[in-house]
Amino acid sequence: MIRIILRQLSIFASSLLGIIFIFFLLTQLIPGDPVVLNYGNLTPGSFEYERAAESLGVNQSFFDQFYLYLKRVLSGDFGYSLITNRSVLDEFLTFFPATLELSIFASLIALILGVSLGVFAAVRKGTWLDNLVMSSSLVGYSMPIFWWGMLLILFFSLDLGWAPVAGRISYVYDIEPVTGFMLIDSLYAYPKYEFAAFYNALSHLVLPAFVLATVPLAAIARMTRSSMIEVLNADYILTAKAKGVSDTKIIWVHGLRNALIPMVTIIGLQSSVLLTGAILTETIFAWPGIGKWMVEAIFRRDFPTIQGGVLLIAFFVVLINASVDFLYAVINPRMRRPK
Amino acid sequence: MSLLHIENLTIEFPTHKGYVRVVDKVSLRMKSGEVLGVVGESGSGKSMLALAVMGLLAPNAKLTADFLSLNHQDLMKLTKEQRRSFIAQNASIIFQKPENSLNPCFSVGDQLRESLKLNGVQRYREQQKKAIELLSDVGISDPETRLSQYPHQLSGGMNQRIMIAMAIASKPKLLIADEPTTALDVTIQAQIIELLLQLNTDNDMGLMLITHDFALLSESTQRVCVMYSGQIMENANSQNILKSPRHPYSKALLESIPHIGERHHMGERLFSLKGTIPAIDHLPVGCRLGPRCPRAAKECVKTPRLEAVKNHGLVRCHFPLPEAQEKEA
Repeated sequence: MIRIILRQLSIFASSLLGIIFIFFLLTQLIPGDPVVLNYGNLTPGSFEYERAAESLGVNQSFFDQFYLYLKRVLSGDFGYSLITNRSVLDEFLTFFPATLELSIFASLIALILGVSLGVFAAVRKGTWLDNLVMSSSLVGYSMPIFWWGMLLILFFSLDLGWAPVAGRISYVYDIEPVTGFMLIDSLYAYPKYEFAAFYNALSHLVLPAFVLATVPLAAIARMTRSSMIEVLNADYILTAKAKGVSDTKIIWVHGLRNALIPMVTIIGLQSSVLLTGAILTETIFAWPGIGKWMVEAIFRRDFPTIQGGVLLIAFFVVLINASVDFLYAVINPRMRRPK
Repeated sequence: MSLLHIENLTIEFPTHKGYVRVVDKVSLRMKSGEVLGVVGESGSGKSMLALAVMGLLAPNAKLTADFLSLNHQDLMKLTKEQRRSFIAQNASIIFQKPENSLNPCFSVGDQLRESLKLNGVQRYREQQKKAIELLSDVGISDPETRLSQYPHQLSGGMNQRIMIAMAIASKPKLLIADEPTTALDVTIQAQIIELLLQLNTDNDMGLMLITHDFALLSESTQRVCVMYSGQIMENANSQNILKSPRHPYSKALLESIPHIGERHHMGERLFSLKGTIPAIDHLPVGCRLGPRCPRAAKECVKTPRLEAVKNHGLVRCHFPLPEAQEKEA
C-alpha cells in the first residue's frame, strides 16, 4: 500500500511540475510587456514598474525566470487580479466551493443514475429497454449543454415553476458563508430559517447539477453497460451461478465489482469534462463559481486571474486523476502485492 | 434409480438461419458414485451438455428433454428458482481455466466462505474453520495463508484445487469436471485427476469427467461416452472401449494418442482423421462422421441409430468394427 501511495505521489508531483512548465511557456508566449500583463498599467521607469520587473526577473535568463515562476507558484502566489486587486488564490478559494458543490452533486447524479442505467441495460441486453437506454444516452452524450440547460430552464422553471431560474439561494435568506458550500451553510442557519433555507438551496442546485451531469451520466451508462456485459460472460459468473448465488448478488457484487475496475479510470477522466461543463452551466444558471469567474476574467482581460485560475483548475484535475489512479489500485486486487 | 438420468436432451441456439442443434437427443444415465467419461473433440457439444445439467445455459438457449433428473428429482418439474438451488446443493462443476473461473476481485477465503454460507454455515468462525479443512482436503499446503490470497497470486494448479474445494463445499452427489486439466502442466494434470478420483471414492460422489483426451480417462472411468457433433457415437464400458472400440470415431480418437516406444517408427505420422468437425449449422446428411470416416459406405447417407452391440454397449454406426482380438502386450 505504501508503495502505491509513493508511486502516485511521485506521478502527481511530476505532473504538477509539467503543468507549471507548460504554463510558464505560455506566459512567455503572450505578446506585450510581461510586467504590464502581470501587474497592470504601470509606467515604465517608475519605482513600482522596476520592482515588478525585478520580481518577474524579466532581464534574467529563461531558466532563472522559470525558477522564479516556480518559486512564486509553489509559495501560493498566483498574482493579483487587475480588476479587484485581490490575490488570485483568495478569489479562487471564494468561488471554488460553489463549483465543487455543483460538481459533487452532478457527479453523484451521474454515477448513481449512470451505473444503474448501465447495469439495467446490460442485464436486459438486446431488449427494447436496452435499446431505449442506449439511444437516449447517445442523445445525452451529444447534447450541447448550453442549449439543454436553457431548454430545462424554459420547461421546469418558467412553464412549470418547479425550480428557480438562477443563483445558489434566494436573496430572502441571509446566509453566512462558513464552509462555502451552500447546502451546509444553510444548515448552519438552521436556528434562523429552520429547513427552509436548505430546501431553497437544494432547489437551486438540482437543475444546474442535472444539466452538468447529463454528458458524464450518458458516458458512464454506456461504459457500465459494455463493461458489465463483458464481465457477465466471464467464467466466474458461471461459477457463482453454479454455487447458487442469487441473481441480484451476482449482478451487483460479483459483476459490478469487476466491471467497476476499468470504469474508475474513465470516470476520473470525466472529471475534466465536468469542470469544462461547469463553466458553461455556471454561465447559464448565474452560478457564482470558478466557471463564471473565469469567463468574466476573460471578458475583462484580467490576465493574472486567467493565468492563475487556469493553473489552479489544472492542479485540481491532476489531483482528481491522481486520486482516481490510487482508487484504481485499491479496488483492483491484481495491482496489490504482485506475485 | 440413477444419480443422473437424461433422456433425449436437445439444446438449440437461435441464429439468423433458425435454430441450430448443438446437442442432439442425448440420453445417458449415471449411477451414484460412478465415474463417467465424456470424450469428444472441440465443438462436439460435451461442454453444452454439462452446462445444461447444471442449468447454466445462456438464456437464449432452448433446452428440450423427455426426462431430466438429478439425484432422484425430476428437474423439469421444478420452477426456475427451485431448480437453481436444488442443482447448487446436489451438483457442482469445475471449468477448464481455473484462473478465469475464480472471481479476481475476491480473496480465496471470500469465495470459499460464500460457498459455505450458501450451504448453511452461518458463523464466520465456523466458515473459516471449514474453509481451511476444505483446502487441506484438496491438498493445499499452508491453507491459512491461502485464504487471504487472491487467485492471481496462485498457480493454475493451485487455483484448480481451490475450485475443487469450492465445488465440494456443498457435499455434492455429482461433480462435473469440464476439461479440468486442459490448461495445466502434465504433472499437475495427473495430480488433479487423482484428487478427483480420490474424492469420488471417499465421498461416493459421482464424477462426470469431460475431456478431449482419451489418455486421461484410460484407467479412471467406469463408462465412457464418445460424442461427435452433438450426438453420442458410442456409450460403453470403458474397458470395452479402450480394448476394442466399435465406432470408427472412437477408434480414431484412440489411435491419435501418441505412445512412447511402441508402434511408432521414425518419420511416421501420428494418426488423425482427415478434415475437421463439421460446422453445427452445416451438418452432413446421414451419419455426421460420414465425410471423415475411413469406413464410410453408401448406406452412411442414412442416419444411423444408437444401437446395442452384443457384449459391448451402444454404438451409432451401420458398420460397427468387429471386436478386436486380444493382443499380447
